Amino acid sequence: MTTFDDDALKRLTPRAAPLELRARVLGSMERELPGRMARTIDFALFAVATAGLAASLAFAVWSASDTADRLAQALGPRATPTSIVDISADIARATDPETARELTRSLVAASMPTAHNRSEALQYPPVSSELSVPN
Amino acid sequence: MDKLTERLARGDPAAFADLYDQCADRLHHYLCLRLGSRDDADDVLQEIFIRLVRGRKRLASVENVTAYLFQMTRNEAIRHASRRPRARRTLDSRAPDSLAAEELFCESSAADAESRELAESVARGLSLLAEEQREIVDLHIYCGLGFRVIADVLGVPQGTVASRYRAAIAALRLSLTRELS
Repeated sequence: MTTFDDDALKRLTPRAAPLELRARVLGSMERELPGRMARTIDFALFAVATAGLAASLAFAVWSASDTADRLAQALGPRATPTSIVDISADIARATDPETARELTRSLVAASMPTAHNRSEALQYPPVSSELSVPN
Repeated sequence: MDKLTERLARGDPAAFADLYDQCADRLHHYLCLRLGSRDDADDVLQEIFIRLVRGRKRLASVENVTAYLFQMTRNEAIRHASRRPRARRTLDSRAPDSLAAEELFCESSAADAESRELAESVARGLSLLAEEQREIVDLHIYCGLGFRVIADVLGVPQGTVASRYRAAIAALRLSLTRELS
């Protein structure tokens, strides 16, 4: 080189940023961007909502299965409806007392409002067993 | 298609990647020249883009995002230099021997001796310039900014930029001619 001018400067190629720096910088930017934050918040909300729903369902199942028991404990056994007693009496007259008691149990269980009819019905044998068959 | 600044203000990751691809090499070179260290330039460049993301709402009203980015880079370089004694020395008005050709130019490792010699001579010449001259030469020649944008970046009149550039080229010519003769 014998002379210097602007072109001499322009003949040089400036060194670029390191290639690995791009991934580093873009990664750190992504951590700051709302998309990631929103995704994190969305996931957290989803997790909380799922946990809440699961807890609600568990409580609902527990309540449903336990309400009848707790009512029975607090209020005593539910009375057998008069209509069932009348039907049982008619059946006992027509057949025999044992058949009438079996049928009464079935009718009482069928008249229960929940899915636990059968188990609750078993708590009522005193009512049906006390059924007196008129002579 | 939306303007780049609008996409940046919305927080579009692809827009930030585009901006990085457009400007990172030039910003990195500028930082190397100002800080005298590629490692420091890496750290500061990363910090700049993180700040840019955090303050992205402001970008919607920015007219020239390149000028804005160089302004940020300049401020960050000054802040970084104030914390790092080694870098501060590089930012002094004259910093002989602080700029290594291998940190600035690809030709420093070229096969032909003439290219290597040119790279080393220019790096030495730049080191001998006053900081404000060196900065303008780098922004104009190696970062590709026009005098008007450089004036915005530096916050000085365009005429001042032009006169400093001419003075820098004259000083470089003198020092390199003396060196080569």
